[in-house]
Amino acid sequence: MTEPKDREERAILEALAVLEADDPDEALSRLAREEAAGGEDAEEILRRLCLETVGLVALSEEPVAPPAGAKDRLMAAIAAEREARGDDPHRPAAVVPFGARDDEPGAARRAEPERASVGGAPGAVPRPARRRWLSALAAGLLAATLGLSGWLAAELHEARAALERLEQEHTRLADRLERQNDVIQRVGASAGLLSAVSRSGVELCPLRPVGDEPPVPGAFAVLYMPPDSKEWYLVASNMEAAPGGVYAVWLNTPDGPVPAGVLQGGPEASLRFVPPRLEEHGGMLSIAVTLEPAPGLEEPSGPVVLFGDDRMSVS
Amino acid sequence: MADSSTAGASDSALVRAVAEGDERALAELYDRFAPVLLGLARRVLHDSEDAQEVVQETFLHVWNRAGSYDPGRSSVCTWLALVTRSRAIDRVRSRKVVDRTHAAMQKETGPGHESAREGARVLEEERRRRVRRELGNIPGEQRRILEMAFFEGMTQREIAESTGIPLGTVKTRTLLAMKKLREALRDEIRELL
Repeated sequence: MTEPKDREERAILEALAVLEADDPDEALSRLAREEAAGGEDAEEILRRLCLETVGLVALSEEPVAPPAGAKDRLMAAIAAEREARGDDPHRPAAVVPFGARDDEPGAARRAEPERASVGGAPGAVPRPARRRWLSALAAGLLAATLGLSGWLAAELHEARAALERLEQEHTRLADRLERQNDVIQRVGASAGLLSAVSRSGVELCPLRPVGDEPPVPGAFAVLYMPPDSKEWYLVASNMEAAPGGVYAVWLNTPDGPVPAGVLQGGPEASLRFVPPRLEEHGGMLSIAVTLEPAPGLEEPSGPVVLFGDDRMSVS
Repeated sequence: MADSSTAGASDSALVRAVAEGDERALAELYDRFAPVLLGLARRVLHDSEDAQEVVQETFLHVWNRAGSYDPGRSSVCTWLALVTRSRAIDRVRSRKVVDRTHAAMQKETGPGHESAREGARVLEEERRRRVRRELGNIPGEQRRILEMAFFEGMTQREIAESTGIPLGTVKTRTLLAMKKLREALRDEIRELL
């Protein structure tokens, strides 16, 4: 079997493997476990992109209206399953008061002797017994109320805890999704640059430090001018953060320097820009990056950090 | 059964609610996805009744396994598509449907119906049209291999044996087709994430 040539091929094969799996949930879980074991973000994103491509293709068929009653049958099946499991949401909560229960063995026999010992007319409850009965009833109601309150408090506490767990999980997933989207954007931007600079016929112009004491000695950059493209790319390396200013990019023409944008400092920096109509200025002679106090200047005023005038074409 | 409290919720939020036992959330998911899942199932099974049963099984699966769904692994619609497709292909493998295919095709009903959520439905249709257009742009031999893998549940080895195309060529065409689709459907994929 031929080994996958690159990350994308691996990602495609892994996404297709989910299609071939008997249990897609298990296949997705396995992918997630492999990712958690230490894959790179870019690979993870590629895999996800390929998996979503699979999903899009699978759902490209014409939708079909479910027949009348299908949804009701589904919901009825679910309600029946809940009832069979014993968690009917419509069943009211049972309240069990503290103290003697009617179904306890001997509860009726215990009640009888008490009534018989008091005496009096048959069918009439004497005053002292009535008072005791009312007291027992009040005590029972109080106990029931306390029991219900305790149960409700416990349920509320559990619901709050569950809500907090869900909120934490939601935050975690939202953060993860944001990170993934950020990586997708970065991968997309990188893919765009790669596509542009690897095109046949692209012109290059390397830029190097100039002078005996260049401001950023280790810096280096390349200007990529893809054919038939509206945008040019300037990719720089070892550009430390501009001290007290910005790095301004200039296209030098016979009419003078034309501003092209600002390059951010950093180990790897890039600038994508639409070049001005250089034919109106007599064409581009060279390109320079200078250190300026602020962006938006019309003419360079600071020292030259990088300079390039050697254009070459890559076929 | 779905109401305004679920109509605006994201797909992931609905699945989370289903995991907590919210039947209204399941009803909303059904309204959103049952038509496209039924289309997918019919494409695989070529039988309306079997397709309806598969879709019912899918949503029962959602009800029972919503807690295991991880939005970091896939979008909800991809998850549902994979479950539906897997169940449909299992059914194809376990039963002989060849004799029923032709008769069942005669009874097929028309596509689509108006939904209360017209805006979302229009977006879904537009996305589906774009996907079908990009599928149409793929060379025929690559598209056929994708269709065999996606809708007939064939492994690459089975495709090679069935078509007589070398296994390496099958893999190469699959990779090329997937790369083209992934690039062409970049915007559609972003909508799912």
